[in-house]
Amino acid sequence: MLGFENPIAIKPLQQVYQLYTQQHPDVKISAEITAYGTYIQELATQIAGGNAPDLITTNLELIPEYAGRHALLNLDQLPKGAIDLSDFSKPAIDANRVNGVLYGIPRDLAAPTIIYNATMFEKAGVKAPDQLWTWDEFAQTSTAISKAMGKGIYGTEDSSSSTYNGFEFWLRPKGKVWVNDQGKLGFEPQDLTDWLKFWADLRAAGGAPPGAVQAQETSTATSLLVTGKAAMFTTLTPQLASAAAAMHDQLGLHLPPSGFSKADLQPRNFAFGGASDSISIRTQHPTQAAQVIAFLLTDPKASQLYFASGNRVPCAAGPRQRLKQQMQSNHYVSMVIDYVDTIVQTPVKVANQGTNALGQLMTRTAQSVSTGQATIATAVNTFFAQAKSLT
Amino acid sequence: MADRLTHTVGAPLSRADERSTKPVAARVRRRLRENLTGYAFLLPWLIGFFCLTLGPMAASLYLSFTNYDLLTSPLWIGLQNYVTLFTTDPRYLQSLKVTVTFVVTAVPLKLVFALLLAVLLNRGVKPLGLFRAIYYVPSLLGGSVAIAIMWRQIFGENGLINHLLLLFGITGPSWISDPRFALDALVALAVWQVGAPLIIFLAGLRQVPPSLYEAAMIDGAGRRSQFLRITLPLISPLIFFNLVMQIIGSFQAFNSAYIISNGTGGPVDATLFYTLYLYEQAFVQFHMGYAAAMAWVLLLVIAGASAVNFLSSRYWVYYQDAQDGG
Repeated sequence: MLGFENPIAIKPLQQVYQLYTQQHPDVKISAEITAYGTYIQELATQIAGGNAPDLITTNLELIPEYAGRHALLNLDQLPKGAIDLSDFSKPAIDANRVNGVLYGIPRDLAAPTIIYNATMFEKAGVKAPDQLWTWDEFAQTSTAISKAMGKGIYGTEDSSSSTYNGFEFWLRPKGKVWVNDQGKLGFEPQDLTDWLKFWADLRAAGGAPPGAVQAQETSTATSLLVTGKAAMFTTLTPQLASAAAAMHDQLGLHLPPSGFSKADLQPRNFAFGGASDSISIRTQHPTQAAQVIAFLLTDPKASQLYFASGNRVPCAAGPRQRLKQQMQSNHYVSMVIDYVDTIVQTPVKVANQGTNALGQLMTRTAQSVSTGQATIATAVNTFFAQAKSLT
Repeated sequence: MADRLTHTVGAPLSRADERSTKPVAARVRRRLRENLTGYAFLLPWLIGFFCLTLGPMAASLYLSFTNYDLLTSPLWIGLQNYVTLFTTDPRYLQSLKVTVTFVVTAVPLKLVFALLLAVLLNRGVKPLGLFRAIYYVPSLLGGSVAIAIMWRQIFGENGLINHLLLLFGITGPSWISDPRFALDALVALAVWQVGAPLIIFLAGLRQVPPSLYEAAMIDGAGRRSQFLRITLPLISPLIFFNLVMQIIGSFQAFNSAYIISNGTGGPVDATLFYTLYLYEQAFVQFHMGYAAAMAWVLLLVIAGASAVNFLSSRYWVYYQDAQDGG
């Protein structure tokens, strides 16, 4: 198998495969697990070279790409019950389908979220609004914190470059999406204009930092949240652990804004697998491969071993509840589990992420506006011109 | 290449004249055996050359005329990649602009800085070896991740540079994340890594015969005049060498921009070096054919720049040996 994982979870994952081969001496697993950046190149090279591994770790970005090139096995064709999916989150599974065909089994659940600095909210004397809130409330909260905390500290980071975990929630109340099921843009130039204007106004009001300050951030570790310069950070739930490890302040999770007026508000958030297990279409051992996947995700001992790093929250409800028991003392793991538990209660379609290149185009577009390199109108035109070759 | 030609063509002919009494067949056999032995010794290099250099280059030339995404087989599209580069890809033109700007600012600054340091060091700084080592260290660390990360810290919003500026009451920008200054920070990083040309200049300065300076001094030439009329002409071959090498190297600059911008060439493509964009096309978007076309254009650009250098060199480079010998 070939896979990617965060460094802290590579060893546990290898131990799971060792455990499996101990229990099944007739199966041999050679597991090569690396960081995501090198992984995508290695996977492409191996598949191009015709020696694809049996088991492939994928995600919502890779599945459309590799399913479209007929590299992945149709998992609907596995023998019934090969992998018991009964207590997996259904929207999270459906996100692994391309044209209705299942190509991956989600391992975990990650959800778009706003990590907020509860200690800073308290210091600023600003109350965190209800979980369901409007974009106006978000802007007011940000500005209020900036005012209370003084120069150099901002209510929120500038998230104008966030796509499926930010812009998506601006579009959903309007009945639109970031990327549609055909992989094309699901919105009009006017929507992008409004979005960029919302953030430009927030910067002007002091609620969000100037472009050049925001552009310094390249990871959670360098985020303005972690460096104590912003009270809110739009990201995904797995980032909570890394942010918490780097700070003393108390942190919390909040849903992204989900409407423009109180009447609009309804749960629009979704949870999806940050990693999925897929099988190569060239494999000689589809049944064994499926058994290994089932072992990792549903066997009590294996899933306990794998998820104990606290890095991911299981997609299957059973292992998720067991992890919660096991991690009771870990405040932040429990917080993430509670957060995704609430989200999966209302099944909502998972957003399409679009390609990496499209995400980078959004970053350039948002930054060109926030650093004053382009007007909103020019930036929107450039975005749609360049997106043409990417979608 | 040239050596082998003279050996196979030139040498046996002259030997044939001397020993024309030997039977022809024996001579041919002997020649063949000598050549085969020669090629056998060359074999490791030849295999490397054909399999690891020439073969991949030919493949990349072919791929540059195709649409190839690694997973499906290459599709011949003729010159389309090259046409797209110069007509409908604004990011490509941006990467060219960034790279050319980098080359024409970083290379001269670096050479002037290197020469200046070399002259100072040559003026009898006592532990010369120590200083030489100190100035060479940044070049050794050159492409390392640690240096680029340190640079982020130095040029960041709360970095060293801005702390120094604050002493003079100036609030500096965030150099690396502001599109107006990000490239300048990379130029500064390149200039700082001055070691290689510095060492070469230093060696050159020590080669200049002291008798020339003595003669000039007797004739009443000042230090400036000595530097301009003796030092510069005599080390001009080294200036030329450093210029060519630095231009080639700067066109291919990659590491620093990759690490400082996290591989994106940001902010807003301000540091989108040619090779960085090539890398993005090849290994992020898997446009292998397009990336191959970019690589061939870069090769032509570098070859062109080097040709200009060599053609101009006959007007400003002075070779002492050629003068003496001729």
